[in-house]
Amino acid sequence: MDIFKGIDKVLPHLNYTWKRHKVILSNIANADTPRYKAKDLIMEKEGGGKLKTTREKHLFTKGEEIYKVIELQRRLIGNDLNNVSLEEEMAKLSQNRIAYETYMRMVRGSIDKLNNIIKEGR
Amino acid sequence: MNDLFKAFNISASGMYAQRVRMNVVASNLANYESYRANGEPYRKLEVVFEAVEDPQSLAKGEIPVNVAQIRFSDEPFRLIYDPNDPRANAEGYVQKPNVDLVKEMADMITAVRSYEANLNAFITTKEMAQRTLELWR
Repeated sequence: MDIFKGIDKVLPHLNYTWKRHKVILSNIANADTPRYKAKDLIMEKEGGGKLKTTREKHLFTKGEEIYKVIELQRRLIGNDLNNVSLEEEMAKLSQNRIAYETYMRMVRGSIDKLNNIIKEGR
Repeated sequence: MNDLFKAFNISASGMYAQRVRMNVVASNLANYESYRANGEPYRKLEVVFEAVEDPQSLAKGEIPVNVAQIRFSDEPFRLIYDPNDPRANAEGYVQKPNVDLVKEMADMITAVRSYEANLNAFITTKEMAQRTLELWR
């Protein structure tokens, strides 16, 4: 519906941050697992707009979002072939959390706005 | 909703795995001087972690950790010169368990730190979920 346009715009990003949160959790849980490779999630738009993508972090404005799990290329840490860096994962976790809360606040904002209109500003 | 609990499960699996490791370290330290019933010195226990990487979880990147096995270490036993010990061999050496105090302590510190990291991640997940539930109000 048109009145939920504000929420619909934020929703893919909200979805993405939640999914990425779980990938980061997996990395932290497997910080001591031999041969585990750290992973990350990237969001891409299918079909894309008119712009060409040359980097994996480029954004589009049209099309469906697809999520891709990638393995991080990091130098080896330790001799168990595990390349999870706990500090980096914790940093990503709090960064991701702030992003999530920002999107949540945007959703909250549009809901409050609708509420205000429904109540005729009273 | 299942999606939400999945996130809790991942952190919980990490905390469980680290706790098993703590228990094993405690057993190894407690049995620093022990002998088994068959007269052999106690063998150090080792925990083997394994990532649960089936195709479905791999596609989503949601990978819990699993304790694959707890096995006996086959490192050589410590040899200590003590001719008065009843277990001493012809040259006066006694075989003692292959537990290395320094290694065990280092292992314990790593386990505690990893546990804390998982716990912090768990708390973060909980707060994010609460933030979502606040939309109801």
